[in-house]
Amino acid sequence: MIDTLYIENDVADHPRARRVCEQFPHAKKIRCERYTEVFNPASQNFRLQKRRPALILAEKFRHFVLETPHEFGVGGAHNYYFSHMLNCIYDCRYCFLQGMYRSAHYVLFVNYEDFQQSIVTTLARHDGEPVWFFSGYDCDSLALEPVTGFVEFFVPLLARYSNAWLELRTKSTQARSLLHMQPAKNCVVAFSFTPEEIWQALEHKVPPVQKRIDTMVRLQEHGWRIGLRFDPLLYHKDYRSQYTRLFADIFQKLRAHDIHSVSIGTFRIPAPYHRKMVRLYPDEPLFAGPLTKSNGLVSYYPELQQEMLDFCRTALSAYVPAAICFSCMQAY
Amino acid sequence: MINLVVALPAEARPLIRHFGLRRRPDASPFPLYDNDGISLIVSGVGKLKAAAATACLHAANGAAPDHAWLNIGIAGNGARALGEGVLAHSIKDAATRRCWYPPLVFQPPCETTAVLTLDRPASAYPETDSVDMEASAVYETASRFSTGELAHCFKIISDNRANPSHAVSAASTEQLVTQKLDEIEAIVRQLRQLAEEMTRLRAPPPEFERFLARWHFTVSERHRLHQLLRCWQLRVPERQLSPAEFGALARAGEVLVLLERRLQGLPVRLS
Repeated sequence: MIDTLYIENDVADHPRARRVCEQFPHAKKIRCERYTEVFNPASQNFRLQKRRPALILAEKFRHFVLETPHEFGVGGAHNYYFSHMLNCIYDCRYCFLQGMYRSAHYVLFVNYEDFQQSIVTTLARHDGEPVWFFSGYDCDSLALEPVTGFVEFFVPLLARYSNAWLELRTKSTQARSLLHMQPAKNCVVAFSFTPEEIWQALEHKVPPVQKRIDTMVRLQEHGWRIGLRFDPLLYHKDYRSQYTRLFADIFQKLRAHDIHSVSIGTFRIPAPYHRKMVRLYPDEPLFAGPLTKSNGLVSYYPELQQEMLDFCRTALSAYVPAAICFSCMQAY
Repeated sequence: MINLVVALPAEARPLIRHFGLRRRPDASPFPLYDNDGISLIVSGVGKLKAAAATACLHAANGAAPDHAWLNIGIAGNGARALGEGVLAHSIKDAATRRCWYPPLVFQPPCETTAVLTLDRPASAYPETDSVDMEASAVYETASRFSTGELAHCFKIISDNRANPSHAVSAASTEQLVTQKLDEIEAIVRQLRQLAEEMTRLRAPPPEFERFLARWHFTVSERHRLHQLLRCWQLRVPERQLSPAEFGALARAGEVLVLLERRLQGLPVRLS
C-alpha cells in the first residue's frame, strides 16, 4: 500500500518512526530535512498523488491542540482538535482535505508525547469542566491504526482524565485495537456514513457501508460508546429514500438508546478549497450540483440545505431523541 | 506531449534515433528536435544553460501547462555500477542547498536515487548521491511550467570510484544512453499518459468554442460560460447543447442567465 517513506532526519531514530519503518521493509526510504519540503511545494497535484501516496514521518513543533471552528461539536462547551496525521487513506470526492492540502501524501507526526503534554495543559486550563478533543479532523482516526498506534497511545491517556472527552472519527473497519482494549467511558467512536449509492459514487477506497455497520455493532457490543456522523449530507433526487434506508439499516442493528450522539450537516466547502477541487476534478458530477457561494462558503442553496436538514432530523427522530442530535454547519 | 532535456549531443543522438526525432526548422538558441509528441532540446553543460534550454523548449512548444518533462543525462555515483539507470527521488542544488522531491506517482522501471547537482565537476563522490550538473535547474524550471509529478530526471551512471570521470567520452556516453533506451521508453510512456490525462481534464467542454464564436464574452463571462457548460455536460452528458438554442438572444450576459436557469431544472447526478 505504501511504497515510499519520507523521513525527517531528526526523527529517523525516534522509536515510533523506527517501528513504522520496520512495517514497510520494502518501501523506498528517502530522508528529508523538514516534511514541508515534500508536502508544501506549490507545484503538486493532489489527484495525481492519490494514485501512489507516500508516508512522511515528521515532528510537529507547535499548535498541537487547536480550538475547533465555531459550531463544531456534540454538545460540549470546550471543543478542541488535534491531528497526529494529515491526509487520509480514503479518497472521498467531497473531502475538504483535497482543497486544503497541495499534497496527497500522508504526514504522520511521531512525537505523540508533545501532543500529550498539550492535551494535559489544555485540560488543566478548564479546571475540571468537560473538554472535548476531536481527533479525526485532518485524517481518519482509525484507518492507519496498525501503522500509527494512535488509539493505543491516546485512548488510555485521555481515559485517565475524568473531564476529558475524546472523539475518534472514522470510516474505517480497523477496530482491532479498540476490541482488545477496555472500553473508555469518555471516548466516542464516531462513524461517518453516506448511503450505499453515494458511497459507491464518491467514497473511493472506503469500506462498504454494511461492513462499517457491522464493525460499529461489534464495538458497541464490546462496550464502546458510538457516535453517528451524517456529515456531509449529499443531495440528489433520491436522497430521501436513500437516507431513510441508511438510517433503517443502521438502527436495525445498533442499539439506538446507547448511542452517544448523532450529528448532521449538509455539504459545504470554503470557496478557495472548492475552486481547487473543481480544478482537480472537473469531471466530477458532485461539483455540478445545485451549489451556491455565500460568505466565502460553497454549499447547497439555503432552501435546499434546510429541506435536507429538516428531512434528516425528522427521519432520525424515529430512532434517537432530539437531545443527542446536533447540526454541524461550521466552516472548516 | 513530453519534453526531453539533455546536456550533450552524445546523450541526444541515441534518443533522436530511437524516437525518430527531426531537427526543428525554427530558429532556436539550442538545438531542438521533435516528432509525434516528443520534443528534445540539447542544453549544453551546467545549470544556467539547462534552465535556459528548459524555458526555451517550453516557449517553443506553446507554453502549454501540462507537458511532461524528463531530464536525461549521465551522472557520477561512487557506489553504483557503470551503466545503471536511476530516476531521481530527490534533487539537491549543491550551491543553494535547496532540495526538491519529484513525486513518483508511477512505478519506475529502475532504482531511484538522490541527485546532487554541482556547479563544477568534482573529484570526490558523495556517499550515496548521484552527482550531475543540470538536474536541479531542469526540475526547478520545469516544475514552474507543469506540476511536479510530470517532471523527472533520469540519470545513467557514467563514472564511479573505480572508473573516474576523465575516462568518459562521447562514444561511451552514447553507448550508455543506448543501453538504457528501454527504461527511458518506459518512463516516457508513463509520463505521456499522465500528461495526456491532465490535458484532457483541462480541455473546455466541446461546445465552448461555438458559443465564443457566436457572442462576445468578457473574460469573466468566459469563465462563467466554461463553468456552466461543464455543469451541463456533467448533468446531462447525453445531450449536447447548441448555440442555436439561444439564437434569439443578443448579448452574452443573456445567454449566461438563460443557461443558468435551464441548468437549475436539470436532474442532479452523483455518478
